[in-house]
Amino acid sequence: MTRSLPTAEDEAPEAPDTSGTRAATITDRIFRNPVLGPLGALIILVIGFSVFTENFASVDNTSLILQQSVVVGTLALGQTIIILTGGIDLANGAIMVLGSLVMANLALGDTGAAQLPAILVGFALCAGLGLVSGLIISRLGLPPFIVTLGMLTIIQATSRLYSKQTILVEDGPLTFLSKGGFLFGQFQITVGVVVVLISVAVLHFALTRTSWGRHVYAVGNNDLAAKRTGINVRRVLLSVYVLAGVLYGLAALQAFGRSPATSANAFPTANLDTITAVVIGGTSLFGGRGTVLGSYLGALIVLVLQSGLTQAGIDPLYQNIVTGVLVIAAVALDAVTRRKAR
Amino acid sequence: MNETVMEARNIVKRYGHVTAVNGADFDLRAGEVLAVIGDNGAGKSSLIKVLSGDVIPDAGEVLLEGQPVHFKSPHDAQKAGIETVYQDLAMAPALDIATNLFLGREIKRKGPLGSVLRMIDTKEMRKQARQQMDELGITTLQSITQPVDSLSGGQRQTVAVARAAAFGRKVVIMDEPTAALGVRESQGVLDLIKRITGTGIPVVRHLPRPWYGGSFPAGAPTSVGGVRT
Repeated sequence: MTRSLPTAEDEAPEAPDTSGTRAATITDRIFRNPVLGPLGALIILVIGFSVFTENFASVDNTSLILQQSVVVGTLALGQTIIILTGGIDLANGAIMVLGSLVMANLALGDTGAAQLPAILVGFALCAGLGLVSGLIISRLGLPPFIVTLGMLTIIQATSRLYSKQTILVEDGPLTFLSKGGFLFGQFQITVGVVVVLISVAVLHFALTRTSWGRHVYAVGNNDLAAKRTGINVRRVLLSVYVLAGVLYGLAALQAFGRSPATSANAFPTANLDTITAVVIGGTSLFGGRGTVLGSYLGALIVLVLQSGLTQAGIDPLYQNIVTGVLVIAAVALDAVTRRKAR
Repeated sequence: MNETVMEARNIVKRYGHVTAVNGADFDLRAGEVLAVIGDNGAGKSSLIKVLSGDVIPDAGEVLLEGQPVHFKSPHDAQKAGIETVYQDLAMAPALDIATNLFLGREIKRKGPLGSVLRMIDTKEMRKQARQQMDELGITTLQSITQPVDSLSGGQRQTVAVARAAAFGRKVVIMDEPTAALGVRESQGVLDLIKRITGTGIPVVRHLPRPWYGGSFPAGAPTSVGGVRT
């Protein structure tokens, strides 16, 4: 505030939040802590499966679920920041796959530090593809759904033209994310899991504690309002798509950590899987509401469901049905919250 | 006589063959409420948009404290100390009151945390937001950390006006500030306008209808803008 505000040191007493009824404040809290929903769901699922199946809670299974979460989890982070601006990215899996093909091809036969240039090129390519989407969306004002659908088709075809077979990479920085790890007793945490957790933490910090983060939410909430308050909406959008591209590059590395083989046909449903995770994680597809932490929890929820239902001996097709129900329930919850907020 | 803060000289704005504003002149003095009145299509909005930088006039000049200014965007006008309260309020509903108050000009943390990481000082922003509300005598908001979409229309309008008052160093412009409000809520906003003009900041108001003049804040000098169609 520029005008007439004294620099009084005395902190104004915190206004008590006892506004309406008790119920109102409780819903208000849930509203303000969008992570509570998915976190609660995850805890309930974990407890449920631990009680009703024998092996779910085993050290191996828990560690496996965490390792399985890294690829979709990392992709979902990029998807989240894009959805927060009111956009969507259908091309995220395709960008990651092309990035990983380029990394693998350039590093063919290389081991150790010789792989590093290939990794850098792969990252640059993913960021560059994000930049292309971002430029088209922010400069031409075209709908993200259509732009990224086009990008998806183009990039998928390019990947298949570029590489017609499965490529194997040697050990080195490319596979580092699965090799290194920490053992807590028998519980193994790979570097990949640590990296995805750090990514979540860093992005969460950036979204909630920096002006860039506030602007991302503002653009998704009301881009006209954002523009009127002097926010450079185009630049915010561009930054989000480029950062998402970098995260897709990281996801490519995470994928090598899971398996040294890559092909143009890998991760065919990554885009929908990430949207599922984001939505279950409580982020609104209309933009402006949500958290990256929720999206990672959403990715975990899907995996916990799959694992738990498998342990319980239930036909895998039912897993998909349950996931679908969860997605619709999450969107319904969002719609109710938004309607109440109107 | 109060000093002149803003002047408009022979403002012309055309849209194709339609002349929306045809040679408008006015003076705006410190602490004054200037109401722009006219029928629908008279050019009120166009004139106001010229002042807030939303629209670039085809001819004429706007002077701020005697200096000619040429706004190319609302942001230019903001930097010059002219704040506008838009009819549709320009807020991010999912963000809280304090964040909305500082949207686009967040207070950064001191040192590299703020300059490099662009970390915001949430505590300081909340403190200043509370002070601003107290200063304007706003008591209808329970907590500065409430998200804006949990507020009523009148409360949102209050936040928008408070934001304009906080950053409008020279002039505050309001586009039909009470159009969507009930009688009591309107009175609250009119009281706010009185408080703002009380600090010497002039307010330009856009009134929806010429006969709506009955609700001018008492005691504030009022003049009518020269809009010719």
